Amino acid sequence: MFVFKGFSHPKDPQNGTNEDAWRADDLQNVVVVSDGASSSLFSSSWSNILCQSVIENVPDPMDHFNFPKWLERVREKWLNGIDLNNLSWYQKPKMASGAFATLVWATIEQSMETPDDLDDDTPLDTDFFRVYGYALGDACLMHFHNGRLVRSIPVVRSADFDSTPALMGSVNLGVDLTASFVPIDFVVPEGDWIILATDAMSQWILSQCENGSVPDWRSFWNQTPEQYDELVERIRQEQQIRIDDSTVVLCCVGSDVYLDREFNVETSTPTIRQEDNRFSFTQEYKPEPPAQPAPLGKTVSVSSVFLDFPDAAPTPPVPPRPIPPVPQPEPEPEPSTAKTGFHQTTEIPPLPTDELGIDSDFGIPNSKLPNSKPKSDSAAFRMPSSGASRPAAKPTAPRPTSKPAGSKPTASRPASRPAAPKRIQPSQEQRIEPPKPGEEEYKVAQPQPGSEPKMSAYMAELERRKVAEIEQEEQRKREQESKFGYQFQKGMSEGIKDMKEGFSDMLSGPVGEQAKEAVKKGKEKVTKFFGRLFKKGKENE
Amino acid sequence: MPYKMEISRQNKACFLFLLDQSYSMCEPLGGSQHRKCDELCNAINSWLQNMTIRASGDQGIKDWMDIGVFGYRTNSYGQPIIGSALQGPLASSPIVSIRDIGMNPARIEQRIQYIQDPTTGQTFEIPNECPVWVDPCCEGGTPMCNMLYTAHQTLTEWINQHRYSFPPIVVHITDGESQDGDPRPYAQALTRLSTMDGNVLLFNCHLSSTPAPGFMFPANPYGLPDMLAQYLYEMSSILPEPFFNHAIAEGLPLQRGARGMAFNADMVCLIQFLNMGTQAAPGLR
Repeated sequence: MFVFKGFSHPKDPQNGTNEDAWRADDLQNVVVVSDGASSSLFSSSWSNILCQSVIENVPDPMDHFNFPKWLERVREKWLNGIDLNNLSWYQKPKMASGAFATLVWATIEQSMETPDDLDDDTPLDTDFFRVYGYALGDACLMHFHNGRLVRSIPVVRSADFDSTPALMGSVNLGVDLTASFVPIDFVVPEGDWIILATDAMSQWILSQCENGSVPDWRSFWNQTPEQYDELVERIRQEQQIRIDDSTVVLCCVGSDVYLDREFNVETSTPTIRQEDNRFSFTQEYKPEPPAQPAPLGKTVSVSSVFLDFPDAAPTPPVPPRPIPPVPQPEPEPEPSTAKTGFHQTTEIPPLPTDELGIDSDFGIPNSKLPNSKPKSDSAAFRMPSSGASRPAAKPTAPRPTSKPAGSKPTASRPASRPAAPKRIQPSQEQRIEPPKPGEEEYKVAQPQPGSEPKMSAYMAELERRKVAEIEQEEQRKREQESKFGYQFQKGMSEGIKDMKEGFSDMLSGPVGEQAKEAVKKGKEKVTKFFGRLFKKGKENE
Repeated sequence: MPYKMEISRQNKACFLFLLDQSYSMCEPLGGSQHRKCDELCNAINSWLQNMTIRASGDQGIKDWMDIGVFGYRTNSYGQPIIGSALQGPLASSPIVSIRDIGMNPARIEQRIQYIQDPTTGQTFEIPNECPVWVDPCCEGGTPMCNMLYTAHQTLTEWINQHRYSFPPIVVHITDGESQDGDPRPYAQALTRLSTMDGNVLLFNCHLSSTPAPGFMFPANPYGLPDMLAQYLYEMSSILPEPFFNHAIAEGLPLQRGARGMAFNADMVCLIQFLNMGTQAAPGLR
């Protein structure tokens, strides 16, 4: 569902303490980032435990029954890791308030929904993914599509970061955090980047976007942890970023096929999560061959999307199932229409129906159906492939059997249609009438180029048909007039006409004026009555 | 823009306290039963304790600030005695790190703290560990010029080692006039020192012997009660924007151009002045 890679650089590289923590798990499809507050005690362990607990059991802060229990278990875990007897005088007062941390997590799952702001040029076979979770404090989740920032949750602008974010405490101080959780829920197409970062890095990323220089996440992905450290140190010196623990986790969502092609991860190791010297949570996922363990505060990353693991995490690792080679999708006619075509910028003209090669009732062109995807199982629904068995219903023009060599073109259709373009213009469709079997006249009327006598005969025939049509019309009228209904209707219309004339004469006299007045009064009465009736009806409603 | 450098282990902060230890500090503080020197020591010890707790983390105390606590007085011959007011292992060190402060208090006193449960109204006695670094002292005169001169020398050396840091903050607490000359030129020399992030800040606090109403952070010299207040006003730095904004956020009615000065301060005013003068620096909030 997604590949991920995380980078983290501590506030003080010499000291090495990093209060940020992150985890990602492509089995649970969860990624989480937490930033322990420097001012609190044992915040590093708190942020680590929070991340690990989210991975193990993704909480729902809106579940007022289960969430407090989950939080209580996490707090207990934190407290159990502290030797209370060996605390110094300056640590004891802080223990009363405990540790604090910000937290953001997201689950990324394939979805049947589509984004509201879906681009028009999105390929038909694009997979979509739902990203949902929660954010507490100023650790952010940012969504990038097509090289631009789409959304940032919960902090929207770089100027909005302040020094008093909402924090999750390791000691129950009676603070209800429910209102502080900001929900995350949106749908993205494959290929989009989901970036989770702690406050300093989030602020820097947002300021970069505001300045028009959106980070190139693919280049960011390709850098080594050492290069990331250099980057953070450089932007610290340039005062572009606050001096703080700086963590960012890059997630690119996509189907297995997409990620395999884009990131070439078929040879990757199983999921590795960030490890901590004191909190080694991820030993059960020791990859084979063993990955290089990262030092504290350094990046550990990388990704795997296909490998299946047994459900029970602590069991010994099972060798990854061999992955069948994934066939590459057919190349598109133009580079801009490649699989990454969701990001294309050039406009593609609509293909004519013939070229789309629509074979099924679903309207999905065969050329665009990825044969390798599970969803390409829909091939079972396919109609017979194009070619010889193309339906006769396709509008085709009647073709003359032969065309004399050297004959000049006539107003009729050419002897043979060119192979390309195959596009059928609407005007053509209207102009071309398919032949009706059994119509001898049509055959007779079919002109033969270069034959004048036949042309005159054709004109004579037309004239004869015209006269015949007129005679037929007259005969039809005569038959109609002879019918009783017609006679009755005619008599009635004449009678009504006579009555109208009579009433007209009568109304023009003095009696007519009285009648008009009476009708007018009656009309007013009726209008008033219906007005009251309408009003009463409205009131009853 | 000055006064923006975030305080970190790489760019440490520096706080210098100049404490008047003259004989007049034996008098009771206005509105209090205790001597001025006792209240002052309590305030400084509490400040050091809070800063140490604030700097503490998983791995001990984060070394992100240097602190100097100087006392000044004269001996019976009128000779100035200028030196660190810290007791115990740190007595000979003019500037020490917060980590040294936390690890080396002169002693830790067990005190009983009374806490009332807001819901039941019941009062609890909680034993509290209170570290002590500074002990009260009151003797001789007030060699203010000598003190400012020593502070200048100390900070010159510190700034040479921390060119990019947030500029040092000097908090001067006294209860009387200078007895070795006009302190204003020395104060000006001190505030002319600077790091890349701005000039040294000098905040002056005058402790009251009488329960007269005090005031803090005046924006102009009009209405100051006497010459001493006038001198302290002129010696004090204008509050930089972060400090000004912090004070406004704390609800203090300040005007633009307010100076870091308190006059006739009682204990509440002294603690508030210390917090305002030292907690607005970036990274300490």
